[in-house]
Amino acid sequence: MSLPDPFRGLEPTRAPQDLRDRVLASARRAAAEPRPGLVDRLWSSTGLRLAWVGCVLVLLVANLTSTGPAPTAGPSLAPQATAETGLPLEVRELLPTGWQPHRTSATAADRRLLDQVLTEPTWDLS
Amino acid sequence: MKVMAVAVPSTVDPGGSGTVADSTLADLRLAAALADLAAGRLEALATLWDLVSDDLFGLALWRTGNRGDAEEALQETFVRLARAAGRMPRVSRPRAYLLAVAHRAAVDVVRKRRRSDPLEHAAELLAPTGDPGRRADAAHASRLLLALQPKQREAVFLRHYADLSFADIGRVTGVPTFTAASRYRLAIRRLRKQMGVEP
Repeated sequence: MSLPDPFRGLEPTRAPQDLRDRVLASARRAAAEPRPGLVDRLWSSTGLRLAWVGCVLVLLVANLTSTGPAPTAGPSLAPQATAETGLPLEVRELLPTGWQPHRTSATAADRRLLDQVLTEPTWDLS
Repeated sequence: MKVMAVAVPSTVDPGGSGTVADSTLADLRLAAALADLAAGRLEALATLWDLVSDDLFGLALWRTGNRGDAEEALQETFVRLARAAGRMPRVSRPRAYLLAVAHRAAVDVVRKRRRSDPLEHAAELLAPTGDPGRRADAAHASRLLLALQPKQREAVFLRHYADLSFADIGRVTGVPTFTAASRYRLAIRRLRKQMGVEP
């Protein structure tokens, strides 16, 4: 696809020659000027300023939206043992309703066995 | 002196008077001048002006649409080149590189311009001869160009008068090749429509 006919043979406007000396002098002056440091360049950058303002706003909004009423006293994170089973509450909730530990009778049997061992002198190895 | 790689144009200079050899020679001189500037020699700026100021001014004029902004953009281009002297990166396509600097300067000038500032529209095209008929053609063509979007006008300039490929136009203007080609095609279609060549 090419330009339509009226464009053929026409030339773009040339750079004005009276601009030459002015531009070259200005360029030389710019080269002679001390270059601004990184901090100066960042400070004078509109984009960076806008980014900074944006960050501050985001932080502010996030702070305001995340600050709600103080949390009410909830359940303690430490496991609470129930009186009946001796198991932590969280574990107890997982067990079927009506479940009872066999441990009560086992503990009694253990105690009986222990009493028996302690009272009978069979352990004397001498 | 270090000589940089030069992209050799594949077509004849669209101005009609130059050849591939002329183009290559000009590109070699351009590469040498840029290498001088990269080495910190500011005298190279004058050579650069002689070699590319017309192209850079043309691009700025087609992009900004008015002479005052184009002059400011051209000045800003050379200021940026001067500031980069001595720490310039290695450039593989000198013309495309310089046009890219001019493009960014022109975009910045337009951005800085206040909307209330009066615009002095300049003729984008001129007739090389004094023939009144051709001068009328030039004025008409310039009016048609002013109706295009600046990005489209810029694509037409870079393709026809700077003789860049769509890939290079994309590099100069910072868009993908497809976008550059699309801008150009839309511009040509619109020009043809304005002239009644295409429905």
